[in-house]
Amino acid sequence: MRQGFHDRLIKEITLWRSEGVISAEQAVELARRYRAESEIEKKAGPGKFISTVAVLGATLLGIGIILFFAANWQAMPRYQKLVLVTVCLMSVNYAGYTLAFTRKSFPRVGYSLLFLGMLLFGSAIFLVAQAYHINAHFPNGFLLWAAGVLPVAYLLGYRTGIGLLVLIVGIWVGLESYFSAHEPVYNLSIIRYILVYMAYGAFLFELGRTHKAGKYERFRVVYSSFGIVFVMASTYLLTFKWGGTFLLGRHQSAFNRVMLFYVIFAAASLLLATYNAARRSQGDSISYWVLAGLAVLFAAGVFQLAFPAQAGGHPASPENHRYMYPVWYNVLLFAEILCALAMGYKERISAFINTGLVFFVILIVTRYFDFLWKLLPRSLFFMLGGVLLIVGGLLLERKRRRVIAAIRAEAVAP
Amino acid sequence: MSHRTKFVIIICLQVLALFGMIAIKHYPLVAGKKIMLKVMPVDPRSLMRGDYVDLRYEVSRPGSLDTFLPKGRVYAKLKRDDDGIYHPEGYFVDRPDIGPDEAVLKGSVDYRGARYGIETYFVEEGTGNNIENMTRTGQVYAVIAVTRGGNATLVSLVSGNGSKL
Repeated sequence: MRQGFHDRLIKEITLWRSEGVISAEQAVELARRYRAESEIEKKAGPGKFISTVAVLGATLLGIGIILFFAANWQAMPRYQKLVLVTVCLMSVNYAGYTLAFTRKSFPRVGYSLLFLGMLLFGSAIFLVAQAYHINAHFPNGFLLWAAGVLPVAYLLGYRTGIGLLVLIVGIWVGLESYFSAHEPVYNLSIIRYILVYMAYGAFLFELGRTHKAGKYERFRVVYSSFGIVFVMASTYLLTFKWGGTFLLGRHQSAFNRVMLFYVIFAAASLLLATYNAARRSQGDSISYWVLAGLAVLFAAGVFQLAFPAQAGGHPASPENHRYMYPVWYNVLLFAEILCALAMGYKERISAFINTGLVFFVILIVTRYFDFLWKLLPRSLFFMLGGVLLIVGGLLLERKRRRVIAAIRAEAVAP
Repeated sequence: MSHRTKFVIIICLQVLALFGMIAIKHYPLVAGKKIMLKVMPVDPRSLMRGDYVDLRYEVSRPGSLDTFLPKGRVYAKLKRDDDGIYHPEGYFVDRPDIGPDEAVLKGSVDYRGARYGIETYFVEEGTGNNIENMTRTGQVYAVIAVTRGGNATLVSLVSGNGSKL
């Protein structure tokens, strides 16, 4: 519980009492109910802080164990290492489950041990691969790791586990698309990978929206926030003017396996978006807007991949097309930020608002110090952005005034 | 089914997956025969799995790849020479019959060549360069355990005089 909430609550209770909304007994009961929690947090530190410290500890320990096995210390025979990692995996999970669920004595530390168990499963996979000199398709290790983390995270309803899952699958997506495309490292078409991550982000965002109600509602913000970060970070990387020559690579084949991943994630997110829009109650216009936005995003991505020269930014692009590509991605990121803010405010999800604001600051600072753009285009970018925001603010304020007027009119009406 | 039982089942499945990985690679060590192949290493580093030596063999280039690319599979038939080293004798799309002094390796093929699952040898951190240098000055051989079906596991690397690296 936040301290600010407790202070506001006390003020509100005083106001309600003075207005006669609640009785004196009710005021005392409400104040008493929240005082205990407030005092615990004041004296022993916030619970979230304890969880964060414990999870950071588990992460450090997990990484340490991965590095320990990676060093392939020969003094310890293969069998001992395998037995050690299996025993560690089982005992850490047992201890974590006991503390968090059976005894419930140290739930926060228990959860962090369960998180360590998830990391240990990954390190065990790579240890077995190392011990038996397995070189069969490296990304499969990450896929197996994700397959092990997913059921644990869902069974325990553990959000940090979902965060780990999203990152592991993210690594797998990058590696698998790279391995399946057989591209030489010196001639990577990096833009394709960036677009794949953009589509992965859109998929996560929609996956989060499918968790909007029901048992796994708590995963919604985790999936969607990671999704927004993936989409915005990918878009941001494409907002630079040098992107055209650097990111596209020299060789542009008509079709490439990396594009397959783009198509799969794009199709999956459009399907989920359609599903989410269809099952929403009437009057929820956001789902349709999101669906339309995703359709535009992917249409542009497909155009970029299929016709790189025409999309601009490519060495073979016609002169008048060359600026089209970075301008489009700057506008796109700006639009994404506005969407994140709008959704964050409408659905009351602070993570969306914070992510939008962080990327807004990053975009502004980058463009201000971007020496690749001349002053004139930069000045236009800022002026256009400023005008859009002021007009947007004007419209929102007018709407808010109307809503307030309507509510007051309703309250006055007999 | 209780929450606790479900959790125990998931963790057991995780352990089973690990043992499955081990079993697939351990089977040739138990049921197969050991053969020696000449190797040509280079030395990269795997971020998640530490130092390793990347190995190539005589069988890594099975002539014209066009024959094997459609199925993506190759069987390399090997024959033992007088020194006990196995050398390629022929490449087949389907598994060939083998005699007592012969062995077969099953591999996958793409445009880069053939891979038999024995191309990576993990070494203790910092020792990869030594092995690489040894391959330049002397001869290095790989001891491979291989089943009659052609599934192989890399057992160890040995120098020309038979000592383990």
